[in-house]
Amino acid sequence: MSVETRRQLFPEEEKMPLAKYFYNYPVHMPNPLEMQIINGGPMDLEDAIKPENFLDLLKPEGYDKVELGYCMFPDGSGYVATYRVRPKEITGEMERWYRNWRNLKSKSMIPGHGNLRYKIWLPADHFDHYFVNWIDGSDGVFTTESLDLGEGDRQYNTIRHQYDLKDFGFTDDRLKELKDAGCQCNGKGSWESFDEPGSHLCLAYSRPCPGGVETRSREWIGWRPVNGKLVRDERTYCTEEYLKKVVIHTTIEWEHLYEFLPDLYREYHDQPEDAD
Amino acid sequence: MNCYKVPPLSEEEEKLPVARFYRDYPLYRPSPLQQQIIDQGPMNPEKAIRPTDWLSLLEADQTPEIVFGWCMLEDGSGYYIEYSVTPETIKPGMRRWYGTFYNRHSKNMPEGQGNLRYKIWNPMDHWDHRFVNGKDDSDGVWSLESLDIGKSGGGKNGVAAISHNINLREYGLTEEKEAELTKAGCRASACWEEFEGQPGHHLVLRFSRPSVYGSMENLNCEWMGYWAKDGRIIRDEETEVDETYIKNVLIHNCVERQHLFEVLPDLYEEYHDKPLDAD
Repeated sequence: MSVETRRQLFPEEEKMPLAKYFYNYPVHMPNPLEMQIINGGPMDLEDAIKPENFLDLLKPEGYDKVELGYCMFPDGSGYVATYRVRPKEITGEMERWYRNWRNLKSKSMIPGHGNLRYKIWLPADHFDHYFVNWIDGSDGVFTTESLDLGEGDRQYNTIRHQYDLKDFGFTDDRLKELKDAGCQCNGKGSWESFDEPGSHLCLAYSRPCPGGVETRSREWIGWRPVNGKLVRDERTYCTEEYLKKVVIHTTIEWEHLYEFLPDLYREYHDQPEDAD
Repeated sequence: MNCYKVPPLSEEEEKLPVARFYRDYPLYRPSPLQQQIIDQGPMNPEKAIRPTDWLSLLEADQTPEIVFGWCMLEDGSGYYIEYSVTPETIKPGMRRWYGTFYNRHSKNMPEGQGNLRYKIWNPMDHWDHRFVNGKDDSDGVWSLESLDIGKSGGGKNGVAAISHNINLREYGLTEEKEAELTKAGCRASACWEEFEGQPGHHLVLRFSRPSVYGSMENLNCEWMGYWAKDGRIIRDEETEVDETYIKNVLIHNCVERQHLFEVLPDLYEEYHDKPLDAD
């Protein structure tokens, strides 16, 4: 099943060579097995990692009972678990390159028109993406996107901030244990603030698996890190319907990236950073 | 890693060049998403495809609500459905080639120790596999395997089965429907199985179609306690089946399917143009 909805591009964007990546790569819903899980409704609360135990995600091997799912906690905060496999033909270098490149604007992009490099990732929802300081992610990464596959919900402006896992007791020994097992973890997590009150705590890491590299990712909606402590942010909007949208949006966007990334990388990775 | 510890080969088998395909490829457990569904327990039987309606699976553009799960049906028979995606690394013809390859022993395969070419596919459970008539599958295919990922002691202690191909045209697949599926790039095959030394029958339907998620997506169903004869689907109440058995079969199938995807490209590359009895 395809996601046919696309936000309309500006005439200036239509003229850019990059626009073909917006139009020529069909976006697909999560596969039937993933949809079976998602349509099964919220997961059991007992199978979610509690916010105070969020570092439990980071283990060298093994899985949680639920790797794809969502639920509300009794205090009104939320939990999202997503799982993806980057196929062997997509290299780590390709993904790292895109994660940086999507924050840079090309020479003909017009302020206020968003970022076509980000729009191609999920044409139904994505609008803008850039480094807050226009240099790197150290001061945060700004994003504008909707989460409902273009069905009419509003777009959220988000800033993604980094935090250090060491501030929460994650030791060098644990980091070494992960790295020795082949895991990719930089010792950082992220959290999001929005254009309305609210916070999301995020954590993800990757490791080799059959067929490629897997990423185990979690989001605790309604929590944020402050000076080495997790703080509940009760102003954060969260419903089961919202969480389900986040799971579907996230699953779709990563699978779609792996569809077009080899072609995009081949065409753009050795062009100037501001190439259209 | 998320792997099984596979049993060692015999000294004679270790000397065969093909042994490296048994030894060097880790055998992984079901994927975490498959395991997540398995851990939830049996599916709602109301969402299972009934054996009398089995050909409803054969649709190019429709997908059952439950694509992965197992349950007992109301009449005491068993059911599972298994969804999988064949990766792009599996090229057309590879699986057909392997079907011929693993049904024949190589020239120096030791007697009485099963079939190493078949063991490669699922080292925990597989023991032996051959054409009943020694040439092709027209008289059935004999196999000896366990279905519980080694829990009962491995394939040698398993149950021998003979599978018989079914011509779906004799069971209600019309010429028009068959043409429609072929035009859409779909493939359907079916068989029924009988067992040596124990009563019972299983009915198996395999359906593949082009997929946006890989080269093909596969929907396989099995009805334990049913078979096919003279154009009719027949219930066999003597078939022993319970929830644990069906669950184990589903896990066995997930594991061996993923493992074959890992091994087959290299195995094919090395052996497809060698003599059929090459070690």
